Amino acid sequence: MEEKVLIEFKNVNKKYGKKVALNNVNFSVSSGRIVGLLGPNGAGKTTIIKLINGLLKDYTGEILIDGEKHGVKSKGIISYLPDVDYFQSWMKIKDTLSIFEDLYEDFDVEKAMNLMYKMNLSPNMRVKELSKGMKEKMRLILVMSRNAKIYILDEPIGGVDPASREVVLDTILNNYSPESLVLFSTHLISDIERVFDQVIFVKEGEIILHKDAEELRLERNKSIDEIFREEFKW
Amino acid sequence: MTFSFNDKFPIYMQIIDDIKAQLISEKLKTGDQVDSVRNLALFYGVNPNTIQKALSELEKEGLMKSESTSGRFINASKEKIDEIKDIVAKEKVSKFLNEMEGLGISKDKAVLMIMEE
Amino acid sequence: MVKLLKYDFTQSYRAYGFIFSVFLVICFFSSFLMGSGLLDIIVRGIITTFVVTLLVLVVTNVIKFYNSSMFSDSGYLTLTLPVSTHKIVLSKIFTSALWYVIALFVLLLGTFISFIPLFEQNIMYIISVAFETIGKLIHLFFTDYNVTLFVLNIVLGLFVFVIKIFFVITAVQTKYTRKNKMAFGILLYVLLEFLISFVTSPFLETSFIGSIVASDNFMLVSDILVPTFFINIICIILFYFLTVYIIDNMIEI
Repeated sequence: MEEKVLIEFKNVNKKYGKKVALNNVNFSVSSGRIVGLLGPNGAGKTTIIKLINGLLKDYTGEILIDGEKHGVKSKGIISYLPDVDYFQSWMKIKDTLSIFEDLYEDFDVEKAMNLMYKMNLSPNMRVKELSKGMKEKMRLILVMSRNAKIYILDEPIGGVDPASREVVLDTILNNYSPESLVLFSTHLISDIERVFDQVIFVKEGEIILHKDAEELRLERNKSIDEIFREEFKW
Repeated sequence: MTFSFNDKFPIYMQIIDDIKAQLISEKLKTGDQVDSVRNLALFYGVNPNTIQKALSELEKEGLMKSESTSGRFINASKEKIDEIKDIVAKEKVSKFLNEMEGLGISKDKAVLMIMEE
Repeated sequence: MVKLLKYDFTQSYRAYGFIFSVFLVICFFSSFLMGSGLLDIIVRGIITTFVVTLLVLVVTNVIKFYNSSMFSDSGYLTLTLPVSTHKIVLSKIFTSALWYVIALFVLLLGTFISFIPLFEQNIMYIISVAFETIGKLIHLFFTDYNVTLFVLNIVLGLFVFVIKIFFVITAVQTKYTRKNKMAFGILLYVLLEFLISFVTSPFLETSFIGSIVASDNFMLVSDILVPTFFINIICIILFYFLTVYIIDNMIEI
């Protein structure tokens, strides 16, 4: 299976007023990989993610999704899990399923329902009744049940208890395909580092490291978590 | 994810070791079909590419063979397994002796203690 | 597009449904108080207040829904949907316009209900008169150009109102106004109104003056109607494309 570059950032700079959010960011990530976008809060991870999804339009440089500039096509191949709740609280889970089914052609409703069942989420539950962890699982299931080329997950395990974290990671691993790319941002590394192919360290708007995870372990004889702590020493 | 890894070392190496341990203990025997990359990834809780790497290495070492349509199969001859057992045993001896040295016990004294067991 | 309309509709029907039901219930109960002298005037005053409240609430909801659906948390879903910005904005325009139309019907229905006790004649008679009038109006619509233009202008005016609001809400989502978006939004809307009046008044005034010279009453009406019609069309096109352009090229969520 040929690897295909799915996301490419070329000399991307972004400022919020005078504050520099991203400084000369260059990277490319390809299909068949699970890539960790790692860095402390405010480092620029979410900015990178928003730029990929076209939620920020003011930047310099070039951003290519599957070789093209952002547009309807790129939105179609990206399945995005943001760090926010975008469903109204009165909705039932089955309503959210039908919304995704309506709005996304590549949505696999059966797969979603199976996953919901496995995670004890019943279609008649209302969003407002769900705990934070359950909400995150529901949103993850919806996003992962699409047959997209690129999955972008912004802090998918942030508010989730350790037991559920395993379920989340299993879902991500289960969804793996050599044609798709998973870009996963988090600041909680230790439990999940074995899931990453590559890691990208983002510090103060710059990419300070972009390497194969196993190579890094071999090189430095340390876990990714330890390397991360080293690089981000206060 | 029940398998516990030491994240300081490349995971694919640890998977190779685990599979070799299964060969030694005969949990896996020649002719057995190796589980799919996807299932192994889920079992170990690691990236499928990591599994792929481990399996490729094992193929290179001659312990596995892949049939294009039916998947991978264990291909470990008795000699090879004995070789592995040898290497593992040597590692354990080495480790043991290092630990003894740490306790201030010389190699000779260690050997004596072994004889007394 | 249909799915998008369905989505926008299902996201908003609860709020509107609630407002409309409350209004109709109030009208229903106020009908019992009708017809008793002084109380009558008070009740009518109350109903007028509620009518105004209803209209204000509908406008507020239009603003609220556009803003929250596009630029708040839901924006993460809306703006990343695999459809063109045109479809997203058009869907919102049509659902908002639809709610306005429904609101007008609810208004008419509500006021009708509240006045039922005052009707000395048979309800059926009243209803048949109403239908007859509507029939006459429809006939006029197709035969008298002035009526056609008048009605079209009202419809277009509704769309202009909606799209102006959308434009203003969208325009404050760029890097130029990161803080105090609401304040800037209101300011922008007011400025926009002034600007539009200023730019369009020559087109409307001359025709007014022109019609004072002309003695024919119909000339007066159509001379305002025609420029108004074109102004409405231009406004709709202008603000629509500006809104889409800003979303595609300038937003910062």
